[in-house]
Amino acid sequence: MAWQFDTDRPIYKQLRERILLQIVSGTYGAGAQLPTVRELAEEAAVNPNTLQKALMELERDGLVYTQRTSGRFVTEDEAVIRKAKNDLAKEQIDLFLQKMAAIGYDRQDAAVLIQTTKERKQ
Amino acid sequence: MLGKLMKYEFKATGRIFLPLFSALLIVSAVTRLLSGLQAQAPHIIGITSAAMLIAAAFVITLILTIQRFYKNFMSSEGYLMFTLPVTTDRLIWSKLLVAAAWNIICLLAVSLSVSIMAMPGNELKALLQSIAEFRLPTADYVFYMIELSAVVLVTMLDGILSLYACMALSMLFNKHRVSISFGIYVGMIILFQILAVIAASIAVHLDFTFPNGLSVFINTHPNGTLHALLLLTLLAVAAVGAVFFAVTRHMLKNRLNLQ
Amino acid sequence: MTILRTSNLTKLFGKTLALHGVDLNVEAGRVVGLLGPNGSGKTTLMKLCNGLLTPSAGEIRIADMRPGVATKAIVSYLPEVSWFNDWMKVQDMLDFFSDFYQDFDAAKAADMLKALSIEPSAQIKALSKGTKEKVQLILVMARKAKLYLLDEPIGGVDPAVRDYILSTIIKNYNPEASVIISTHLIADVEPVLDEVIFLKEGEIVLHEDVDTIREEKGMSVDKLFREVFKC
Repeated sequence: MAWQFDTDRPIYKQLRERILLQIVSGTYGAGAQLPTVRELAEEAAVNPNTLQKALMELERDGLVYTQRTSGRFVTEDEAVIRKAKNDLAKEQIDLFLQKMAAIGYDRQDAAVLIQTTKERKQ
Repeated sequence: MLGKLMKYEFKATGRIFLPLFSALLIVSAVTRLLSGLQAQAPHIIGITSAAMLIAAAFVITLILTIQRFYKNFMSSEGYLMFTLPVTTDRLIWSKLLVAAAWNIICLLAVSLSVSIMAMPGNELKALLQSIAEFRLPTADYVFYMIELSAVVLVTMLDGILSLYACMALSMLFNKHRVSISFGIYVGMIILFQILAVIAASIAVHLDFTFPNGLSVFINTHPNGTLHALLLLTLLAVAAVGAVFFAVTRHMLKNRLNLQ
Repeated sequence: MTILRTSNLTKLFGKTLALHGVDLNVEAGRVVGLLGPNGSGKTTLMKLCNGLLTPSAGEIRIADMRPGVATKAIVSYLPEVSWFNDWMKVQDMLDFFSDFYQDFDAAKAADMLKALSIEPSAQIKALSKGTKEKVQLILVMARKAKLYLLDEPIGGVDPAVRDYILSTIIKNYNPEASVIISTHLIADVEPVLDEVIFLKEGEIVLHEDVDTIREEKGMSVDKLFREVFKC
């Protein structure tokens, strides 16, 4: 099943975020080998060039590296992954707080609400 | 590539011609066998069937010659044929040669069928024997046969090419192409007739005397003259064919209009 | 390496100007969307690339060669119509392609037929319209061509087949070859495209990378198309 994308942002950026999420959440652990560009492109149903762009961005950010003969791997540097994880979480928190502010709740109110909201049944 | 094109052309057409000609020959043979019976009826039925098959053979050969070109080159099949990595010339030759082959086979099959049915037993035997005992005649005779056969063959090719050219020209129009092809063909025949009449009437009025040297040559070399005439005829017929071919090629290569 | 280059490409049909002054450059390894309303000249452009039509003016070069026998050997064309005859079986068509195209991969074609449960021994004329289209697509994509020209490949098929076709295009991706897809169904095809060309009344009005359009205009190609070609 092809991955779903927003229509108003470049696909390579969305691909990058998607793969980043998979890295920080542990789907691809530190040092793990990523599937080939062709395999990922097929799975995501996107142009291989676009996927390549996404991977190169991740490489530029140090989350992924290429070993010429064996392929692409997630970095073994756990610190880099942890930082990316935190950055991603902070982004989501910022977005969340923006939305709460639009409703009318400030940081305090939002924090209280989080504590008291029952966990949704999985 | 030409061989491959012809291979597929034979495959496409053989499915119809082989059963047709086989049926004709079988019916002829059976009719022949029936001729010895006391009862007339089976023999007459046999002859009638054979006659119908002979007519069918000629008609179907003509129809298929036309239809193969039209269907394979001018309908949606053309999208496949004209994107193949082969020259337009080869495509035309593949159709032309296979059509010519079937036309010749048709004539042979019909002749054979008639011979089988009509020839008295001993004559048939004698004919087959003389074919078996065929000796090469004199060199001159051989050349005559070759030249004559060539003229006949090229004339037949011209006939087929004229059909192709008329069909190809109909691509200038978008609708009613079959009728238009037919119209162009009829128009072409009429044009040739007119040209022939004009040529004849001019020739009659020309005070034609051969130059002295030429007269002498003709008188002393009757054979040579005949050979020259046949060769000139061959050239003329070939030239006509070349024109039809060129027209067909130009239309298919530069003015292809597939519906 | 430039796979396709046209300069001032023009095609006149009688009094109708189907293409006018088309200047185009397509590099190898690109998947290009050729987008435009009916009658904008998409099919005409493709036919000029595969030699079915000759230009009225201007030039066209495939891998630096003029359209001819050599270019036909490296261009694989999927027309909108069905070009099958009525006497062949599916296997016969495979043999036909093997005979005439050196770059035809018969094994790959056989695999694709199997994946779609199409019997090689089936009579083509007995197949449904949809199945015929699939066979035609398989034959075209099983060639290792340098330029693929797909004219409305996903138009009349159901979504599952649509996915299969797009997936085949991705699977087939070759950095030395390019694919030009003409279509109306832009949203479906967009994720597969590198760049798009908008063709309006025979002229190119846009030729841009998909990512650039989304980045600079903040909208999908589909949305941009609707704006540019508003009725």
